[in-house]
Amino acid sequence: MIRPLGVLAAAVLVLATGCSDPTNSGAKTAQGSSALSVYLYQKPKRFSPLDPLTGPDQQVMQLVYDNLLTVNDRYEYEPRLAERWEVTPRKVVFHLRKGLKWSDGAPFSSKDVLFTYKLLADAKLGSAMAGKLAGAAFEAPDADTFVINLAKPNVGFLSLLAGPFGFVLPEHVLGSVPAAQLTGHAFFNKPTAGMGPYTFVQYKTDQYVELAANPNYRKPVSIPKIFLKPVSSDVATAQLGTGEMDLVQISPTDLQAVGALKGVTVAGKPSPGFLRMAVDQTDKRFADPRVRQAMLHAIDRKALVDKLLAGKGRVQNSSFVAAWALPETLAGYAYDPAKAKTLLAEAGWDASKPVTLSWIPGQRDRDAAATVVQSSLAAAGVKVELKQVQAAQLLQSYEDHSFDLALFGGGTYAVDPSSSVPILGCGAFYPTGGNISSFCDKSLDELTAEADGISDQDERAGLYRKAAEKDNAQVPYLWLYNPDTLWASSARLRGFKPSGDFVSGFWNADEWTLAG
Amino acid sequence: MTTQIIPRSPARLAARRFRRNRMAPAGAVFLAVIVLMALAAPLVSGHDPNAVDLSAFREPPSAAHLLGTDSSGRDVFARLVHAGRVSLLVGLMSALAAVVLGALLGALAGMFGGLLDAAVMRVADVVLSFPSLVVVVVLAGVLGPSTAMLVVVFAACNWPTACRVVRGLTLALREQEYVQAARAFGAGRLTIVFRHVLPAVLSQVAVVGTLLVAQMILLEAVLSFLGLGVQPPQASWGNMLNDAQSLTLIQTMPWLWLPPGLAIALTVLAVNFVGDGLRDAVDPKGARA
Repeated sequence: MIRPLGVLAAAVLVLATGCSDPTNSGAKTAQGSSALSVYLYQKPKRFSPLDPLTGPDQQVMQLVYDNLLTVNDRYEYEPRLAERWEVTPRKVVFHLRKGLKWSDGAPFSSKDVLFTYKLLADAKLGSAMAGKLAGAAFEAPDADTFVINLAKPNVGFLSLLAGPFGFVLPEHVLGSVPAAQLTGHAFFNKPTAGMGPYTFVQYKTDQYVELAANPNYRKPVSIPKIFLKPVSSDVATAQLGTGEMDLVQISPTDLQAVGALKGVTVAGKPSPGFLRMAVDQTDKRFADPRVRQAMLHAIDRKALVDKLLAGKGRVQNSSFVAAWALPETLAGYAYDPAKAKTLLAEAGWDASKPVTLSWIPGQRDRDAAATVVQSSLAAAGVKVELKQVQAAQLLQSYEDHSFDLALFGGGTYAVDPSSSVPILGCGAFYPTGGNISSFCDKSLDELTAEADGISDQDERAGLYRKAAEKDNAQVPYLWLYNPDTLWASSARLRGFKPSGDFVSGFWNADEWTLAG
Repeated sequence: MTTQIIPRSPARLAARRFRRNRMAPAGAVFLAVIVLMALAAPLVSGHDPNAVDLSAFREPPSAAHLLGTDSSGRDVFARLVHAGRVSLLVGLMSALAAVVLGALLGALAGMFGGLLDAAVMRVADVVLSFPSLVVVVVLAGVLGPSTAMLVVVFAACNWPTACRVVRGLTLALREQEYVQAARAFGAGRLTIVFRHVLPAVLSQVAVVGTLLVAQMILLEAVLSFLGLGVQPPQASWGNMLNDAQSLTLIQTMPWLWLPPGLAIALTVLAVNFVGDGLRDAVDPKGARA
């Protein structure tokens, strides 16, 4: 009896710990080599700025291609191909850097930008940016200038272009391809020319993407080779310990284990989005703001941040994230089950009918948050049924309003408050826009529209603060928390500036160096 | 070698052979304990298995929480014993359903032969040749995950084992004199199936069924681990393991994954021992000397 049990216990241990034990430091492939190994959180597919955006594709494209401007680690605009720009309510003028070359040696000019933006704006090609660019007109008055004329005034327009998207494509390679054949073109499987700091060498499907320094980049690139490897986060974290990986995005639950690894630095930055639950307000039960306020009071969101995120985050109380657009004081909706019950009673809540909470399972903090929300709301008298769904199912339920509460995260709202308008506006109900809650307050819409027509920053901020107050009082979404994005890097990687938006994590890759 | 010869009934002989296999009674005792704990879960556990308490977050084992708490502050021991209910229920129900369906179809196929036999056995071949885990994963995706779905799908994928055994036995029984005598007296074939064939194959079917229970418990754990089985917040051993999948938890918080892992392994092992013991008991020819 003893022997089989001992063998069994050993087998369970081996199976449960998997094959990547960080203390088991075997081959130190990355150490001492001149190549950088970077973690990709999912497998990339193709490298086309015209395809719908997916994180790993964008992460690779960020290194191979370049765009007009992006967002840096402080959520400020960062010049890329455009050296500077002028913004007026109806027009944005970009002044491009002079004397740039594509990685294949061909000269770069505003014609490439014009070519790309016409493709990006073409809804028929299915570009993710077509909606943002709808109605805009583009011109390239000279080789170093590119102009976007807007269909309606929007001072916050730049925020729609800044980030890991809108990458400029080479007209001298793709210009002769008929539009119909462009999206499926082989170039996007193996880009032969780019403006980014690295050139594309190969993608060993599902194993790694190999990149080499671009000799024609606008400044010298220090690291000669980068390998981007899509592996599971547990494997990546373990490889960080063995020296096989140099840069990994980690989850707060692994903070303790990673912090204990020698020579590994962990840095965090607030993410540009937040975890929230959309509340279907076409359902009369949720139409009264007091019901939504009560639900916020019922959930101990501070405990969620302290425990689930190990303190690496903040309780969110607004649909706006850009700091300058938020008023000094917002209602905090502190944990108060008694107040939650009172508010529900005042609103005439019918406790007999259950509420479903749908979410896509798989992310630790979200899975735990769902169970916590369920028991917290139950304590306040709202019976919640948990419903795990697939992505397609969730989107379908948004469209036919078959969801009650939907838990999801993400979003990039930190640069400019106008990026929160598509989740709040009366005209932006899903699927036209991102307003999944079907929340509508015309006075809030008027404030944001007025603000986006004004160039004066202070005046604009004042209007947005008023809008944020209305948003905070009516609770269009059940905001949970704004998590930190955590990066762990090996001691030999220098110059890495962590971004809170993990998709733009490689924004300053041209400044990275390897020590030793 | 024996000096005294006492007349023994077949049942007593079988019980003796079962006891002689030392692992089988040990497995049976262990299973009895697990079943009792599962039945008395609310009394044994001392905590609500789904009570979330963020102030007790991932606490190590203590007097208040025998096996510590998980990432939502729930008591691991309470979840473990309640999860036992689900695992055993799914295992027993689906094995029972699979065996009843398989035995019935097998007996009918064996007794009637011809077209019915060919049809049933070909369907069984088809079901057996599917990779059943993949089928279960697809069906779980289509029908939506739930405990009832698990039982139905497991039964639908696993009846051919019992069916083949019973058909083979029925073919042999059909030629026995007492069965032929019954036919000669005018008994219908359905009557023979229910009066003579099924009772005669019961012991072998019990062996198949027991071993199937072990498989079904494992399958339930696998599916729940993949998130396609028992749905949260209800606990099952598989989804408790799923909740504990992270490097930090595996390295530093063994109380989150060791108990459900051991529970699965030991229960399956115990069921298999009992199954082996039963096989030896009912089949003296195949028994070890």
